Amino acid sequence: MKYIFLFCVFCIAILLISFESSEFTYPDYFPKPVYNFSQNPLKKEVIQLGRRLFYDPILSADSSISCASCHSQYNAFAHVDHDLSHGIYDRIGKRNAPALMNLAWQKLFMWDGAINHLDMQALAPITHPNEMDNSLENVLSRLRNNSNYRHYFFSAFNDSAIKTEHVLKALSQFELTFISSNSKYDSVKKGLVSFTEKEQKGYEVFLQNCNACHTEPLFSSYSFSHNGLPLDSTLSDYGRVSISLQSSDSGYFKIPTLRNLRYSFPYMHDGRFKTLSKVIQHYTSGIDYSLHLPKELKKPIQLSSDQKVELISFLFTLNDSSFVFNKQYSYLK
Amino acid sequence: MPFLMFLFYPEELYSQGFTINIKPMYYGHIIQIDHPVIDSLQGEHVTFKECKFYMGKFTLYSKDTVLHFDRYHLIDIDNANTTVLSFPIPPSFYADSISFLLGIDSVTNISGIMDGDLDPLNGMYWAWNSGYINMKIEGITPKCQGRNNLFQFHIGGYQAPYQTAQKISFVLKKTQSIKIQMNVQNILEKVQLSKEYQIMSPGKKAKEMSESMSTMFSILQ
Repeated sequence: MKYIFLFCVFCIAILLISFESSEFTYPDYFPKPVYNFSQNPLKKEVIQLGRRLFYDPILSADSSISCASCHSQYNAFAHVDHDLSHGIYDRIGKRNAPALMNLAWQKLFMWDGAINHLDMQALAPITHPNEMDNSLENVLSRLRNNSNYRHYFFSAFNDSAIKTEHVLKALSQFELTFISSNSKYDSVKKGLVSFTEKEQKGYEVFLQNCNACHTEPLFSSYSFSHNGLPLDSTLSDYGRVSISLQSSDSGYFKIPTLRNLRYSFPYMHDGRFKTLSKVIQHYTSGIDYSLHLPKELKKPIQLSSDQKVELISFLFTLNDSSFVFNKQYSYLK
Repeated sequence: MPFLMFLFYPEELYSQGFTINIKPMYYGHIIQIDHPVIDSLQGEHVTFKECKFYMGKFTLYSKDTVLHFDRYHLIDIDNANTTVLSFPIPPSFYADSISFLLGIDSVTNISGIMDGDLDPLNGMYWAWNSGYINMKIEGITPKCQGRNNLFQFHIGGYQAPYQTAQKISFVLKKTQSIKIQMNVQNILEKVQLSKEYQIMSPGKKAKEMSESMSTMFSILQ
């Protein structure tokens, strides 16, 4: 009898664990996430609340734009076709809104790493004058005056008081579910399909020339580096140095992932390149070697025109259409 | 070697409290927000507009007991409820020394969103360069060359080499209550208000000011 009881407890525990993790699954070749889930355990109702907030213009001062305005799902949560993203009242910022995916593996956010935790990230666009130009007080008071939100917060947190902590944790939870791990590259990794010959050759070019910074399987080391881009004097954006205050970080920006490039153009922190071939052209013939470059870039990258084509065909195996069309991430009607 | 009796103290067990009364002063005068105080040495007056700061991780020591209280308190001298702190202690406990942190430690700074005194809603958090503001002091004085003679010092930063949280400790005569006097002139004497009247980001200047902040406390028993 005792054993039957223990067996039942075991089965229930397994069921609970699998339910918990069903919101957050990733392939075994991914590293362990860095996000501390014990402080914000995933829960269906919280994720759905985060999803509502993500798409709700209530967060911006004049209720005109939402998170999704600059992070649209069809663009892998980047801002389509804008070099510099624009926010409220058509005000233009100084950087390209980055694509959002695999956020649980990242410690620092924004191109300069100004934000030190996913939970704190949303505070920045909510309050920035060129983005949502709002105040936290105003956001909380609007949400508290909305009976639907009081209901959603209660079912998510058993608390209808609507606190900063819960707003930010809900946004984090929704964003944590943005896992892109279903590209052709992933299918190859899982042994389900093979690369074409061209893609395989491109993979080898990638491993030799790109992987040190855009490290697989996340296709970024998520550290900061200089990629040899000449300064745009109209922006005078020196990146990471403004946060770290270390002169060696001048011109350093967060290394972006190479997943879903097909959807997330234009490229670079200031969106200066519209196409991948322009990006590759930069790495092979556009780098300014007089700049303070990291060791990975000191040796010029030389690629034949065939290798460039092969590299692009490999990079296209990192596109994950099931991610950009996943209905769980879309606007909740 | 004191015996570490309670690391995280079960607060509900004792009704007895160790009380700390925080008294912000300027050249011996109690500071009240929006009330001018005179610098008796030079005859200048200063009107403080804001004085808020974090204290936390209080540890009370007696010969054989160490009581540690992990939480942070946001002290706002414009809100009398925040300037008296009370910590549960056993009736026979008399502290012979105390330590605390002025400002928020680096681990807490990178631990994500928190509620209560650490809620960014309190206006003590930098949204665009993640991190807590350990101390805000703002005021008006004629010698300050800023707009409307306003000085604004928002001191924070947790990353090396510009960490600004300061550990402060005092030896006490066995006691269950103390007054901590803050001699705010110690901060303003260190800067030339005619030239330096606003610091609002982490860095070298913030670090230097945090060091002078750590010298402004004295204990009255």
